[in-house]
Amino acid sequence: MTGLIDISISELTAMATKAARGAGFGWGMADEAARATCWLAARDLPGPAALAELLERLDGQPMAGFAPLVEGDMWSASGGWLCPVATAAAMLDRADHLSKASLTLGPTLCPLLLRPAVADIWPGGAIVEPKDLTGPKAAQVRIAAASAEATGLVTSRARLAPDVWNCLGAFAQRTYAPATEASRLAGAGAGLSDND
Amino acid sequence: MTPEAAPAQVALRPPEQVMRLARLGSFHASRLSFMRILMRRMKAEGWTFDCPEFAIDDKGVGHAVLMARTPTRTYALVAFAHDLPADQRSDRVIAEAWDCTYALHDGLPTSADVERLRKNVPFQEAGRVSEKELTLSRTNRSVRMFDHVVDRLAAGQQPDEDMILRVGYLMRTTAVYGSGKFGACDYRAICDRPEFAAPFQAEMLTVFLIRDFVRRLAEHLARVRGGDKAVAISATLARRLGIGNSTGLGMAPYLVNHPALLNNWIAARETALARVRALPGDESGFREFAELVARAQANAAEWHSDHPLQKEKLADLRPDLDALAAHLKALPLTGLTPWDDLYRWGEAQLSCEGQEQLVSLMLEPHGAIVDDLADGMSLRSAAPRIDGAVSVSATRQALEQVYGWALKTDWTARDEQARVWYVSAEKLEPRLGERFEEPIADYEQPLAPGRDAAVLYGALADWPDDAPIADLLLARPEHRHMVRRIQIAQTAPYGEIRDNTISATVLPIDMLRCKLSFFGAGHFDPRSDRWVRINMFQNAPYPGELAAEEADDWTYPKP
Repeated sequence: MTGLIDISISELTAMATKAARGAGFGWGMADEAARATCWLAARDLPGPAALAELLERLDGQPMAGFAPLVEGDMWSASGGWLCPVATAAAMLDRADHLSKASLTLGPTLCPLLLRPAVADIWPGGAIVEPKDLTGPKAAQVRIAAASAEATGLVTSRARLAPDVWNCLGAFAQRTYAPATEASRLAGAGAGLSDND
Repeated sequence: MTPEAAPAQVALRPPEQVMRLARLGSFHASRLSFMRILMRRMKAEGWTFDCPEFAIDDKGVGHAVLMARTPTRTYALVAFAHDLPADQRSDRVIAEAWDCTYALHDGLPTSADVERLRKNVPFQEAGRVSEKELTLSRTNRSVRMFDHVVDRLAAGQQPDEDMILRVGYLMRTTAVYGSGKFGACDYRAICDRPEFAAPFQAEMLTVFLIRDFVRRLAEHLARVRGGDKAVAISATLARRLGIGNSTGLGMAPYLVNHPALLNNWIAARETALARVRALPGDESGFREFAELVARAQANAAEWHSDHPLQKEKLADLRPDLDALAAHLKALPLTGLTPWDDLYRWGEAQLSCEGQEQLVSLMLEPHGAIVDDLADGMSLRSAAPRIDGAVSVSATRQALEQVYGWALKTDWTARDEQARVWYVSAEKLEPRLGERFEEPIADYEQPLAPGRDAAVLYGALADWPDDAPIADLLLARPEHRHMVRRIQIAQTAPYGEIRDNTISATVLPIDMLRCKLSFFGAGHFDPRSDRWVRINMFQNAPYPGELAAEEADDWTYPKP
């Protein structure tokens, strides 16, 4: 397809981590966001677009309200909408326990980002609702025993729209310190000529 | 080698001893360095090399293609030579123009590939390569050395040997980007090829071919200038030329960000040492070793640095090697494990710099029980998921065991938190700043695991012993990166540096040297506390010499 940019998965890992951090996630959670994004992108699923969408929706809001209240087999967020990155992390942290059960989630943002965790935790399970995971919101997400939807070949490349890449880049930019002359000279410890 | 057949070994040196910055900053290249691993493979498999294209004009501008052919595959260094004004020649990663630029192409490049690369490679970070490229790199001339060599060769004379020894290279790289950078192929896509099983092999192959290209370029320019009078550089002097490298801070975070990988490197070297220490003695083995020590003495004598820290280290290393040579002469070869006795003597008598030189030297004659460890130095899978079922008390114990030093540190003292690792908006250059003097704390990278371990330890106090760590992570997601680290450390004990990476006295060059020693670099020459110059492949055979020459005996030059 024309118009898409071709990047390596390691470039996407670095970008997604920084973007998630720039949007307010802690480094460890940013790492989870990047893993999920890359898992999807490597299977030609629109993980980067889902992450960009999520970061725009979360931007400027306290993350705690989007974290799951973990109670039995029905999880929801105190603030109304579940963050799929925080929810997937909570699921992965309870993988042994969850893998034997089904789970229902309340209203969830960008549910596609849950899919890598589901594939990891429930070898014989899948997201049975909603059918289309690529939307920005789902009123409910149900994970149950089902044959998992087949994914494409796993590659080490990601192809994504320039506006998605630029959106992630704008969030990533927030992790970079503005340069000053002092930092240019002292920060990297070199300021000498290389003409010797 | 199967586990049953693994050689005997003494106990490994504990991580608390090995993973101190002062020791990591005293590491030397060894048989397990990545350049050495590559050279052994190229020799064993009979790789061949040729230069099918050398389209460089009389001004030194154009391109060339240098091929490396394994028994089953072909790799091509596509090199571009430029006319760089002196005022643009900078060691910094923030430079925007270079004398020469390169990509390592996977396979035989078509003319369309070369044209595509010509539009991108000269711009380095501002260009894009594709999954058909494995690395992206550039070099700048050592102006005085390059001009001297070209002038002499053009006049039909050989360059001055003393000058070659003093500088050691015609050009130096300021970056060799691999694995997926700027659009290149990800390591994971090629890690199943045997030639890339060990770490950084594509990067090392790139530098090995660059060295050959740079020699060809200098000889070409000498021919342009001198015509029939011009001569080629003598094989002996050419050997003395490596490829320099200037490495800044960017390499230091790598070690902190890849604990499982770092563990594999260190564990391989420590296991090798433990195997050698368990060996029985034999007279001829020690005689050979004494000859090697003499070569290491010569190498240390040739190693120059103007930096006060390295001068001090060299002032330790040279007498250490003299003492080692004297000790070997006096040594009665009795005892069941004379190599262990020798190591213990070194630990008692030598500086840290000297001890680590001794370790590298002890591995040198013992390839038969050392070289197989190279197979375990890579990391081909992603870190496993966090085990959320681990209890708070088990996490506490793990922190006490790995981060005991950090739990004793007073993190409220300004000096202990004086520095901040951050990335500058300017060409994304990694930098180190002063927390209490610059507005940079908001941009801090997670490169202070000691402090973060202490903070996590403090947070655990609020939780019952038997609570699963998953509960803490749900309530306090900011600790997630540290919980992951401490879990990785359970199986990767050499992955965690046991020192404060943000203290007022931290020396980033210690981290740089550790990594560069695993590359196989020599003659570390710090230019500041966070920037070091090195030499790569100095004294190694050139591609065209590999078939006829010894490939693995060049770390310490022969007299």
